[in-house]
Amino acid sequence: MSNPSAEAQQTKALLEKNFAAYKLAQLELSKGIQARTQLTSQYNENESVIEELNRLDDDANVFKLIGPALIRQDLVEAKSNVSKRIEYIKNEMDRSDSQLKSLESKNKDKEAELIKLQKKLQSLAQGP
Amino acid sequence: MAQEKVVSLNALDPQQLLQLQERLQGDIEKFAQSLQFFGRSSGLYHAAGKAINGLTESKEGQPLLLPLTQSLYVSGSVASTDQVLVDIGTGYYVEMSSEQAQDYYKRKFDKLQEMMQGVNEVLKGKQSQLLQIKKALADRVQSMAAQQPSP
Repeated sequence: MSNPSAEAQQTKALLEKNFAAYKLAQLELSKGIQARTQLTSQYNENESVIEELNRLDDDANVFKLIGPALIRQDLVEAKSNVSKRIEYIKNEMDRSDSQLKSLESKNKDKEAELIKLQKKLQSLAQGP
Repeated sequence: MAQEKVVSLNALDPQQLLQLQERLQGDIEKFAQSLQFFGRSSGLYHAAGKAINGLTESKEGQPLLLPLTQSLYVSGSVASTDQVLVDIGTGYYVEMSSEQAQDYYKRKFDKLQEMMQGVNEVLKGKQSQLLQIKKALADRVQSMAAQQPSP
């Protein structure tokens, strides 16, 4: 093996590089979690809207706010629109879940790598 | 149950205890925040229900001042005392009779109260956990201080 101080330096550089990558991965993960939270709240809002729409009589007057104007909507159409949106949000939630899973495992891997490098650096520093 | 908790806490080292304490404090803050938010929202629903009450008591054609901004008003008159337009979310508005609207706001209010109760229970659980951890930490510090001077 080459001299230990050179190896220690190398390990240190590697550690720094990995630490930066770990930070980045963490940032990505927290962004993913934020997106997921937003999807959940959208889902809840749409669920409560469809619940209200389903309670209405067939001849109820429903309006949708489009820009600054309230536009009259057919109740059946409104229901189908909201249901479709709920479907879409559900799919997005599933997608976001699988994305989060992979991000989490990536994070764990990076963390393990960091700990390994740190230990190595420590043993190099303690060595003769 | 509580006894088991204490034992498992004693098995942790002080650093882990500190970490746990930090996490719990974060959780508690979050739950307290959502509790506050729920409280505010249910207040809004309650106010809307009361506003409808006020409307039903007024007469058709009665003059009123409409707020355009917080400080600018225009005069108008009550067009109908038993028809209101309710914002049910995501840009949808529904015409309801005042009874329907009252029922809507009551249901929303009750639902929020229910959720607040749930959050409150979780919050209480977390707070008692935090207390236990704080106690375990204090015990640890004390026993460390007692050991220090002897050898």
